[in-house]
Amino acid sequence: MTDRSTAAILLLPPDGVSGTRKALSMSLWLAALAIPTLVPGYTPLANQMVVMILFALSLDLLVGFTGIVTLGHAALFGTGAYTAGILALRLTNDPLITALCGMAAAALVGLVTGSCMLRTKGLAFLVLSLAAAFMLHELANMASSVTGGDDGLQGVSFSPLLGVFEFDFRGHTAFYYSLACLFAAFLLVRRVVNSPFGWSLRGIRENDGRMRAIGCPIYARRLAAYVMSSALAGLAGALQAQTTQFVALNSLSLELSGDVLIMLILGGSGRLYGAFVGVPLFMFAQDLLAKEDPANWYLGQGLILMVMTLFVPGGVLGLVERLRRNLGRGGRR
Amino acid sequence: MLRLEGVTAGYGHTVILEGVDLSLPPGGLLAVLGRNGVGKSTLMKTIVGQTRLRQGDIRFGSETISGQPSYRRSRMGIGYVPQTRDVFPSLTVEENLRIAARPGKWTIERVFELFPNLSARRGNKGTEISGGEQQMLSIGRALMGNPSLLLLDEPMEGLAPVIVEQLLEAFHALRRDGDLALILVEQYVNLALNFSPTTIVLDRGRVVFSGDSERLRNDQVLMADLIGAGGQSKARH
Repeated sequence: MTDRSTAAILLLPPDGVSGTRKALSMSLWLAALAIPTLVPGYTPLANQMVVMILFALSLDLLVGFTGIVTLGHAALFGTGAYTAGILALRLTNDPLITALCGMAAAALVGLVTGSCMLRTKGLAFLVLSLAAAFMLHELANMASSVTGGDDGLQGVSFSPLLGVFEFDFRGHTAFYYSLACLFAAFLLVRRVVNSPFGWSLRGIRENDGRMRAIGCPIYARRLAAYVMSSALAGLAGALQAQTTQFVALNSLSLELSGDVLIMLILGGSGRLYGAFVGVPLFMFAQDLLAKEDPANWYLGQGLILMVMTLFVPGGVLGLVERLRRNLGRGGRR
Repeated sequence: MLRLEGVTAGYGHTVILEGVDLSLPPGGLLAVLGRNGVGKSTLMKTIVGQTRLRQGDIRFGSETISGQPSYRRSRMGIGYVPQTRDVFPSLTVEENLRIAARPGKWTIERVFELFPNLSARRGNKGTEISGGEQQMLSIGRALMGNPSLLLLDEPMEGLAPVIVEQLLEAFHALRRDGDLALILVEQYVNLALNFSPTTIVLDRGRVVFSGDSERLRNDQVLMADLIGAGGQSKARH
């Protein structure tokens, strides 16, 4: 341990992960740092991706690691976004304080809704998650004097980050700020899923009856995972509000909940890096398809999703893992 | 330590156990025998809280646990090794063990001492080990919870003789330890009778014999009557 720098320890995956994966992991983060220098024109798009990766990562903790499939995750993203935006307009526009408040508000909403919804599972939970998201969406629409209703929350601005870094028009501050938050969230999630708590979440996903029989309080663990995931989704929402200086009603929508779930499935859930693969893939595909056929691009998106679900059920990372395993077997023969 | 009084239980509307009484002192041993489908596994599941208890009372130590959820019963000291093993496939052997750890004398080192095979496979996923090793892992995981009562549901089922020998050796080591009570559900009649000084036999959800294993072992007519030819054909050791 002493021969590794602190930065390397933070960047590297836990022990037991292969050297190739460690190298890939480090190069991914280093490459991300270079985006504003290498492709400055794409920095705002890269920032959008980073925010969505954080959002998808928060969902991975639920879907991939705990086995809780939800269609209402945007409710928590939107809560974070509106909290940051409303605070900036009315109380304080400090980015860190508003981001923390966004996280706290989303965690609170997660705690309240999760306490009720997590008493069910499967289809019942899916329906309840939809219902909760619809209710929050409608509440935000009704409270137009506070949220801006259908027009969204406009005129939001934030003070310089740490009192020094202005949110510039090139989007560099926004990008590095979002990337730093994503990195911190990634380290946290990685730590959690590789801890006894994380193993218990995977145990719950695979066999909750067995977990009960070895003394695990299932409901409490699922709720803890839900609140943690909510806080991270809230952080993603707050970052969205801060870096775009606008909060749309769409941030609470079913469409966003569906999109983030698709992104995660495309990349591969339960693999930590699935969000990092699925989000760019989805956003690039969306961009290309919209350019090719602006009126009917959903058709192409649907086709890609069908093919992925039918033939690549573990997402891109699942496919890579399968190929690697097959190649390994072939090599041993 | 464990006392069941007039326990009637089952799944949903189906009643499997009817009026079952049994008691086990601290550190005691009990074999549960019977033909297939008479309620042996249901009895284990009822003790750990995985069935619907319709009547009767289950006491563990000085407390009644009839209304306690499964995870609390485990935390109170009831370990359970199910017939299906239920190893978590995405976790490594070591993670499968540590996930159940509670303070006490059973540590991961001690489990590895009991089952050296597991130590060699500590980094393998739950599905990347043999059936026998999965059974050892399931037992080791139950021990990691530091139970005072361990329920073993047909642990030898489908295992190769050499693995059965290893498991038996481990059970004898547990028995020598003295402070862990064991309930062993087993199809191999002689193995169970040799292991435990007391036995109950179930038939159609009721206890039809309760007493000394030796008495049953020495009375072939009674044994054939209670357990049948199936039990005899599985005689081992």
